[in-house]
Amino acid sequence: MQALLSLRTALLATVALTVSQSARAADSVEFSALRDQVRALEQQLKILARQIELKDEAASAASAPVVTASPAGFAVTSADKKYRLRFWGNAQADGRFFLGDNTNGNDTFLIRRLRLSFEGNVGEKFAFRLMPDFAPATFNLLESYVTYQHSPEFNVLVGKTKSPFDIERLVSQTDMPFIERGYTTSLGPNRDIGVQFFGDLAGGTVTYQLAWLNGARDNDTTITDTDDGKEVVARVFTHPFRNQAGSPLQGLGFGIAATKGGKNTGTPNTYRTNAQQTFFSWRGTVVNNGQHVRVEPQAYYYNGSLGLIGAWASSQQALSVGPAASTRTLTKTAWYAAASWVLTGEDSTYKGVTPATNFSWSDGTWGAFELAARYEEFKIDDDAFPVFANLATSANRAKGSTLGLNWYLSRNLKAVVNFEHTDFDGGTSNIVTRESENAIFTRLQVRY
Amino acid sequence: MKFKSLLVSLLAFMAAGAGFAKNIELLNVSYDPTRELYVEFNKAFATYWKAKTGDTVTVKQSHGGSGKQARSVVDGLPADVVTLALADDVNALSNFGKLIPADWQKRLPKNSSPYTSTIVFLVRAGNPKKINDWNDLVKPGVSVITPNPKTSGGARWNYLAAWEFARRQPGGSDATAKEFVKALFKNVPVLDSGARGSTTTFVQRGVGDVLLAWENEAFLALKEFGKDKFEIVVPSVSILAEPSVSIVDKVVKKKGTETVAKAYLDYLYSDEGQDIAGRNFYRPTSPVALAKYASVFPKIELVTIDGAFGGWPKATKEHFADGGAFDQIYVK
Repeated sequence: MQALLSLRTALLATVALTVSQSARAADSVEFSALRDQVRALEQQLKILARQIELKDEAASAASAPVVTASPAGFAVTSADKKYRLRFWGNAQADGRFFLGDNTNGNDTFLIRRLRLSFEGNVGEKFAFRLMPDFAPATFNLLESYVTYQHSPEFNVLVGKTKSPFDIERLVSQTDMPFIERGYTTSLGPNRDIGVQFFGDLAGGTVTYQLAWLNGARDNDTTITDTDDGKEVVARVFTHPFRNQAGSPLQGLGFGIAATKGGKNTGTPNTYRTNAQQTFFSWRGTVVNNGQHVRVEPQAYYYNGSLGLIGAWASSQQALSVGPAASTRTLTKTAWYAAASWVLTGEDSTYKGVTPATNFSWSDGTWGAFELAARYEEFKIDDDAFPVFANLATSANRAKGSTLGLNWYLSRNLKAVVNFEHTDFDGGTSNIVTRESENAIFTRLQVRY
Repeated sequence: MKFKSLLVSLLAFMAAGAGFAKNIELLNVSYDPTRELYVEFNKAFATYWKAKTGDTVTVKQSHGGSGKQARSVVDGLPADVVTLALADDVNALSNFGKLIPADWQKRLPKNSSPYTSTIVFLVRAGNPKKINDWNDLVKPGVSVITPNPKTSGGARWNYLAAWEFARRQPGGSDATAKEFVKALFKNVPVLDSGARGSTTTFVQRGVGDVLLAWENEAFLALKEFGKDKFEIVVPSVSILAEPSVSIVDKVVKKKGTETVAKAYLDYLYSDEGQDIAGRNFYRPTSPVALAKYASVFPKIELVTIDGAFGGWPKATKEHFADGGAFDQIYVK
């Protein structure tokens, strides 16, 4: 009996132990499954958290506007690059000194330009520009326009900007190799108001501009239009080898520009030397009275440090002595040829020189140096004398030479010295020929 | 007389200035995992250049997904040198930006790849999912971390290595490889834009079972976080990753830094440069440095981009261009 009891106890114990172990095993399997589930859920949570983190990073990068300050100026650009406001300005402080004891201009220091420029993009297709000038003494809104950028081939500009005529005028004044523009510029319009169509064709090898404008006088800007006459301006310029990398002719460009329109009010403009001294004036009674036609073949060539540029311009204009008198079409012509060479090896381009280094005494770097020379002539129609102009006070021909040295201390700072020499035919009441003009112009320019 | 004096003074001034030591700044635009390599290399190069010329060189670094970095340079980021994850990203500087000549790869030894690397697996300690080769990556329940091949050079190497593994299997072809890579990317829960981002996802955020990693990145994770946290698994076959370097001609000419930028890249091939590469877990290309670090790098069969895929232009067009194989298999 005792043995039976012991056996029963042992059996019960075994059964209990077996049941307990089975229960534990079941618990363990369940626990293991649960643990796997928790791990899987934890992974899912981590994946979601990381995905959200990456999404936030991407969204933050995608929406934050980009503010840049570089040698090109300040700009704020939206993350999608569709909206942009760029701000820059330039100041030019000149010292001008006339050599010899003649009756030309006085030696002077002046602020030649003090300009601000606000440019921007409004969406993908529209852009604008506002550019006031505060020098020499008064506020002047030089540029104010909106462009519709349809495609590289076709764009529309409405507002006030440079008339697309003279090749030298179309270079930004801050990028020119000379302090003042030359005679062909004097025969073209300056800035004008109206509508322009422009674009690049044939893979960028042909550029065209076609404008319908108020019609500005030679070397003048339209501020208020005083008549119904309008002017059509057209320019075609080609770079036939632009896309031929390595070709020595890659930097060759040539074209032609023309204007045609009517001017029936106001007086024609005077003409000045490169030293900004008037050498030709119309008689006070002469007025615009009819058609005004200009034409300018133009070309440039840039290869490495060498730059060559030139143009010939003619301006034919109907004038009369008083509005009721019969008109006479008079022709003024001018041409110029200029060469530049960057002594420090940087590329010479139509849009200026970018120095490889900035001037730094501590770093032993000097920026870039450029030599430039220009020769040009200006001729007034012989028929202008004596009815429309007085040969005793106005020259009928001017021949100008300019020698220049440019020091690009950085992309933003430039120092220039020009020697200007001009010979004249006519233009003095005392002797046959007006005395030659010699001047040294200097400039310190900041553009930022 | 006065003009002559002025000229003499000017020349003397210039000569005096030219004799002064210069402060030069370079920008090295690189890909994600090279941060540590170039921190050490830049210091060494600055010391070398100072001793050689007296000039002080400061090298700024920029890192990100290799493809993104290349696009930034094309868009105007003024890099003096690029040290990118693959030759095709450097090609972009020639193809889209005209910033370097088309034959840039011939300018430096070893096709302008001063060091190489490969792709390995980084798994969690104990390798709980028993991942030993590429075919383990397509099993259900395995979570794979790799960056986006659209933006990351490292990811392209990952992708191509997986493709070649599948193609080498019995009955393998481009079609089976495509299905294999498609299955692999089904197991990818997060696509970072660069390799360093993927490392963060796997190592620091604890996401995934396996990280397809640059070999140097995997070693770096072991070094930083310890072997008790991660293990490196070497697959049966991988790909010879050849990061490529070049000066950016248009930028250095404009900045006047061509000489020092060239010297910077040449120095990558020097004994010290190669030693620094080895110390940072990149496979050196010089026999001496390679022998020195031979024990560090596992023996692994490596296929090449030229041998297996006909070169980068072909591989890019077929796999990574818009509408290519990757776009077809990865639709989210």
